[in-house]
Amino acid sequence: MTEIVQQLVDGLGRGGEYALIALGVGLIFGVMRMVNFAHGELITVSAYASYGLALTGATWWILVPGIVVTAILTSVLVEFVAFRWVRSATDFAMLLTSFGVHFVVQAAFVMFVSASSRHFARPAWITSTVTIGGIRFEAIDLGIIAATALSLAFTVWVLQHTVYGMAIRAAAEDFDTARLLGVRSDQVIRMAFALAGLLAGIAAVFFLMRTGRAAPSAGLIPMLKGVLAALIGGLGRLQGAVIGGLLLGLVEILLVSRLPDSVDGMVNGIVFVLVAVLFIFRPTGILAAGSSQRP
Amino acid sequence: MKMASRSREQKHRDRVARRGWISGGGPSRLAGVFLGAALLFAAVVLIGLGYTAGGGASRETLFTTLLINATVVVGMQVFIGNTGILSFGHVGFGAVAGYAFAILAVDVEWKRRLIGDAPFGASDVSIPAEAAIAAATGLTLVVAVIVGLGMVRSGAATGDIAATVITLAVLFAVYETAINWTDITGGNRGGISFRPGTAMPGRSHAYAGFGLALVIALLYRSSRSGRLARASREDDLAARSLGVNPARHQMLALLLSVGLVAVGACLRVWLSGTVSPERFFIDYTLLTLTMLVVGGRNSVTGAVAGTVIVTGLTEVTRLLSGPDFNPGPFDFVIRPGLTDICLGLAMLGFMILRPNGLLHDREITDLPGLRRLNRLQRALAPASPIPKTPKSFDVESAPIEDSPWPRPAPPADAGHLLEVADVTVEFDGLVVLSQAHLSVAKGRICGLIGPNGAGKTTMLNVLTGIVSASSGHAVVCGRSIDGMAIHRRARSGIARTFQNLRLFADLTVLENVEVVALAHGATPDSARRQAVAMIELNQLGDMASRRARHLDYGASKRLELARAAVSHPQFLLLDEPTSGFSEAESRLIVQQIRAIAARIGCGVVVIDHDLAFITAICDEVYCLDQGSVIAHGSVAEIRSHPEVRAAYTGE
Repeated sequence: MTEIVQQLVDGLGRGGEYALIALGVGLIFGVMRMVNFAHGELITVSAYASYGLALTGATWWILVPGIVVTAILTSVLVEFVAFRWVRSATDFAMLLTSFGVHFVVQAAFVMFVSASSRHFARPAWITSTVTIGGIRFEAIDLGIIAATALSLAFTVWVLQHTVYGMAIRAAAEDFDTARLLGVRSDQVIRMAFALAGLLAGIAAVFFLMRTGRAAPSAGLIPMLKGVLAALIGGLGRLQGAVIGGLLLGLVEILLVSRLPDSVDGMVNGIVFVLVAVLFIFRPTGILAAGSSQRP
Repeated sequence: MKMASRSREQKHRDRVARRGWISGGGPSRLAGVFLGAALLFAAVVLIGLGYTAGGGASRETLFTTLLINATVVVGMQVFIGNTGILSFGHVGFGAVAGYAFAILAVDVEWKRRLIGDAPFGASDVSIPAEAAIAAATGLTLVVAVIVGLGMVRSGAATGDIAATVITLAVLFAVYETAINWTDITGGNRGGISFRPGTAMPGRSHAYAGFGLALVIALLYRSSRSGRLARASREDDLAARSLGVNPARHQMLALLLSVGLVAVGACLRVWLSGTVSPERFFIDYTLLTLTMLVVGGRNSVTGAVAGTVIVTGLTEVTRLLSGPDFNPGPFDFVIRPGLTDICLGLAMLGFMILRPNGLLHDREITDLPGLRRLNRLQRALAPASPIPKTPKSFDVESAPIEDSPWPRPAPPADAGHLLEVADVTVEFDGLVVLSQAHLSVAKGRICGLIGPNGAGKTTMLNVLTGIVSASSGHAVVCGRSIDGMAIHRRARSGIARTFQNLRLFADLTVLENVEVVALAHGATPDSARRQAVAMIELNQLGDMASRRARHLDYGASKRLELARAAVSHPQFLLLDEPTSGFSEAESRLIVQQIRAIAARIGCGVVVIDHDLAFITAICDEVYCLDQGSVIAHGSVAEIRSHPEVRAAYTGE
């Protein structure tokens, strides 16, 4: 029992990170119909930003806002530099554009910093545990769960109560109609990228607290997990991204704890194959209703 | 005067015929394939030999690598180019082949030192390298069949993210397996390497692999399957609705594609004498995808050109960032990592500025310089002749017996009716069609009218299988079509047009019509003849070689009509053929629809809001309102029907 509760919390902690990234992927998909394979670069850039700040002696009190602001700015900048130009392109071109951004950012860090990873100090409390009702939890898991809940509440508030938020939601739910109504404007897309950047920034804070490491490919795996989570839930359904993220986190923790050690390194591959099998039977995700294409 | 007009006509026919150079049929197709392959092969070999003439072992290796990479990239083109599905998995398939090859080909004694405990007795067998390539390719194809079945089951369509994620899963699953299954792969560090001195001798295998890739890719491109795959690449739903089953063609494309990639991957392992997980992962995926999109993923020539260009680029950056070159003040960019950033920028730049690459879908045999050769080739092996049809087709007096396509079989006794009974459709609890019925005889033109949201288009969607009804039956000429897949309904005699145009945008006008004839089983020659006749009937003859995306609105609408009609349906379903038309254009389309219906002998169901058009063309009319049929009768009856008037005017 104790073990199950611990794993549940562990899974929700990991899943919370994925949910934040997936929600960003879902928001961007909503306003652009693009699956953003460059979303992980927000984490990569933030990682190097915190490495740089840490070099100057900054504490985590400075690193946390630094990471979030970096992620937001990077998100908006990437949209301005690259994605703006492919707004009406084919799905194929959009996918490869986002992959191109991923490769360019990664190569730039290899070129101008180093191919090997850089490390910075993790916060002291990272390994501490909290005992509630006789069950020990990792403090960071509780932190992530709280932060995820707060971020989701904030996102829901933005989407429900601000003009831009409503426009983003409208676009995500009925892209064609929203576009006909003129929703697809610069500001709405930029807002969606900024919001996605904020969420990725919050995820990045915990991710970097855990790893304390900046590497050119740091964002690859979190990005893939976020994209998978968004797809599991069903693109175009924002609550689906959150559910998909939490589900993915729980499944991963279950796999890690149940699988024999010999295949421990294959968790990502196994998760990928599971998701692929899911897509074979539900190509539009678990939440999507029976697909009814409109000609 | 007469002479001038004839020569203009002749020129036009030439132009139409020329388009078919690789995509045509008969002996000219094979000649085109081998000429194209020979030209591309010669071009690459000339470039390579020219560069190696400068001397040096590294240049020799570069040329061999170029040939091998071209094999892989051409292999990827077969799938990605023809189906439009972005795949990251091909390099993963390459890893499967590369490991299988190394495990089979490395000699036993050497292998025992690397992977002595390998399962399946793998460390005790060793076969000649060529046999190992064949076996590794076979094994990889087995994996590809499994993945492919999943992929087509997911209903993969162009740009479909589910299919792309399945390919990503292949890449990651193979990579992590290679790292973790150390008993047979040697793991991350060691990998499997050949005994020094047993790497690939000479370049003959690389030549053979590249030549094979070119011939197979060009053959597939010009095959029926390749052409139908490209139709569904352009518009999956339209292709299905006109009788194409994308799953078969995607599967065939995937298997050919993976087979070629597997051969290339084996050669790559053999040349370098080693295989490790990293060699077939993200970096190689980036390299090969960039090669594919720079030249143009939609043509084999594009794949080859991209490989040559990107190889040249990486060679330059390698030399610049190497130790022998002093970058002076530019050392901030000219340093290790330059190659990768250039690849990433090339991919990004092309996707933003020229997403179809340098060549788009043009093959080397389409280049202007080859026109002369082209004519020579046609003299040697005459292409399918373009049939003569009257320049201006007189709709009223056209003798039906003269129609160049086979006459439809006379209707069977069981019925020549399209019958819909009690069809109900609900979306999320909203009733769109409620116990609707419809009955149309062959040879009749039946209108379907009603206010917006009445369920008219849904009725066509139910008939074509795009929407499944919660209850009800549909029967075509005595055969139930309930539960049939979209493409099967099309083959059992239903063809349609769409309210919003759904042309195969990147194909030419002629190809748009031709692929539909092919999908219905016509031979390439007969498909060409039928298509030419059909586009001339629809006044599209002088635009035959234009891409559909460049047509004006009226011509696009006529092309949709021609494309649906060429399948010789029993029933032709037209969704708002006159929307956006002027009165004169509407009158023209009335004549066209009548001419087509008379020639094919089909029944027509036509949705339209233009009551003048409906009055002019229909024998009978159904009126739908809020999902139910509220009236049925002749045009005159409908016009005076009180409920119809109420539904239209809101009285």
